[in-house]
Amino acid sequence: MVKIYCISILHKGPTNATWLKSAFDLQSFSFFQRSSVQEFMSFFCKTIVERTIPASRQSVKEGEYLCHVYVRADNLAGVVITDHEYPARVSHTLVTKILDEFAQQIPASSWSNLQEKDVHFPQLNTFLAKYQNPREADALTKIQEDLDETKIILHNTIQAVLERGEKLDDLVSKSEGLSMQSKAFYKTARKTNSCCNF
Amino acid sequence: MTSTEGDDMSNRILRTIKKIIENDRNIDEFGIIPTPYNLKNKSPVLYEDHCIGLESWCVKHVYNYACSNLFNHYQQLKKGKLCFTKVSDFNNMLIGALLINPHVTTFWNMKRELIERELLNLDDEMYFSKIVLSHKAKATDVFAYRRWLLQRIKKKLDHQIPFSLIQNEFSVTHMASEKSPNNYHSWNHRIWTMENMTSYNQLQQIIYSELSYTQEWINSHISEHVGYHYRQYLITLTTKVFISSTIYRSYFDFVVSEFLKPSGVSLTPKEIPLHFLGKSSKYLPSEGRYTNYICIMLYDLFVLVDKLNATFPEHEALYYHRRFLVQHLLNLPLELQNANDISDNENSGTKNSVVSIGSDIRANKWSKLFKVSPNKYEGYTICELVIRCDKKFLAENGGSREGERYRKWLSNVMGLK
Repeated sequence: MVKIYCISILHKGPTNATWLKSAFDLQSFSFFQRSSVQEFMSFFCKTIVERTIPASRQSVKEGEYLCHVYVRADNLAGVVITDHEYPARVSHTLVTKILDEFAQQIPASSWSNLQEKDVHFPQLNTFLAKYQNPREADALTKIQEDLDETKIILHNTIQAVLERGEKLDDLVSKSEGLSMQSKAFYKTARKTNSCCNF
Repeated sequence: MTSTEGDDMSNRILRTIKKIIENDRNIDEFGIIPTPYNLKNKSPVLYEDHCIGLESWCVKHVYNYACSNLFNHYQQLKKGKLCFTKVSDFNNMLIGALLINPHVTTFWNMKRELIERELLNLDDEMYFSKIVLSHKAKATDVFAYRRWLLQRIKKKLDHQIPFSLIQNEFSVTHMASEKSPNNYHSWNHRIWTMENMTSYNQLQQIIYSELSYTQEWINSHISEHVGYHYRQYLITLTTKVFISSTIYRSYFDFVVSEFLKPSGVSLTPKEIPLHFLGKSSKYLPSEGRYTNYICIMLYDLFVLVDKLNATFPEHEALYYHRRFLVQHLLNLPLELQNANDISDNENSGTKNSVVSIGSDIRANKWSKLFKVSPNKYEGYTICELVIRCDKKFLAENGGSREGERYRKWLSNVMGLK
């Protein structure tokens, strides 16, 4: 499927990252999984932004998902989670564009103590809907030329992004942002993915 | 939990599920929700927004209960001793067991038995099997069961199948294909529906609408081989079910505006094969039969594949579709001639000039797969077009990994330089 699941804007603080705005399209997941999937995607966004140094881009493959992250030099960060068919180049241009627009609209001084519910940035949902069709990106060719693809670091698992000694399973079980149900969901998903699942 | 308590609970759960299915005719989904323990001491059956969820902690109790009692009930049914209230219990257990695990053919056969005794209704079963597919989209047994039901419905309606039934079948397979990537089971079911549930006249129209459907599908599932496979099946089908009056206008118009108008040629649809296949077109089984085929293939090669490749580079599935198109377009004139030669030989045994060319080609084809003979495509408009298109394509995409593989395939297998 060619699909964007989630776009998230975060602020990378000195110790942890905070969410500024997120948008999700989870219609393709089954109804009772959606809330867990959403919690997980938020959790992933935060985890990855915290492990990306400012002024750099990364793409992380995890299972059937691709997660593209860009942290600007001023600590504003954007994450796009797509499936593996969605062109990576378009994802990165999209992140750049969204962050530019966000920075124009909301002053940089307020980023560090903003709460997600106070941020008014409805364009994010429009972007999410519009860019489900990556050919919309044709309008963006100008920015694409500026994007230096060789500078994007590509990781094949999320484990590669984590610091030494860190384990995803531990992070999940320690996390306070995830509900009991989501953790159970994560464990089952791990189990079913571990063997051939027809 | 003692066993009778467990049985009571399971029975209650099964009845609840059945009741929900009975009362809501628009259930979208059934799913099992991972819940390690019974935390809330509430019913494990969730029902929200036309979706049914079953908490995972109770699954083993319900499934055990259903499995251990099903055979008992079945025996009684066989002997004719199953009373009416028990029949509904029996069906409840089947529903529960099959929702949890639809891969047990025996249980589906029990359902079939109930239908043959007219204890279940065909429409209800069509609806139920759809819900099962929402949970396990790749369950072959469910599709087999649906086909069995459809055949019974067909018989009941005396082969007058309403179009809504076909549409419903298409929407169910669409749902299953969306739920699970590369779901060949659901696409095969779609093909089966086309071949078995439609009349010859309907088929022409259905192929046309299915062609646009697959185009939509490929646009959003670029690396799924199934979509291409189905489209290729449809393209091939156009030559088999041909009524001369049905010309797929949009593809024909594309060919006219792209290839004929610029060179000032004006043709009727029937003359398309003659124009593109040149002298070999005289071997066509009937006039105009390949018009749609040629037009769709050219459209795919020049528009569909090209556009998609620009947006989604390096997708193997897309390159394979390109190979399919190129190979079939290039070989079409040769194959027509070949087939004709063989029948000529069989009929008369006399030799004429065409036969010698034909046997030459055959020798090429059978003796060495990798033998290069670039001249064999000369003199056919269609081959020239394809070769020109490939040159342009390779100039743009030649450097990439998939592009390189494609170039090798063209030179080694197709014999092009």
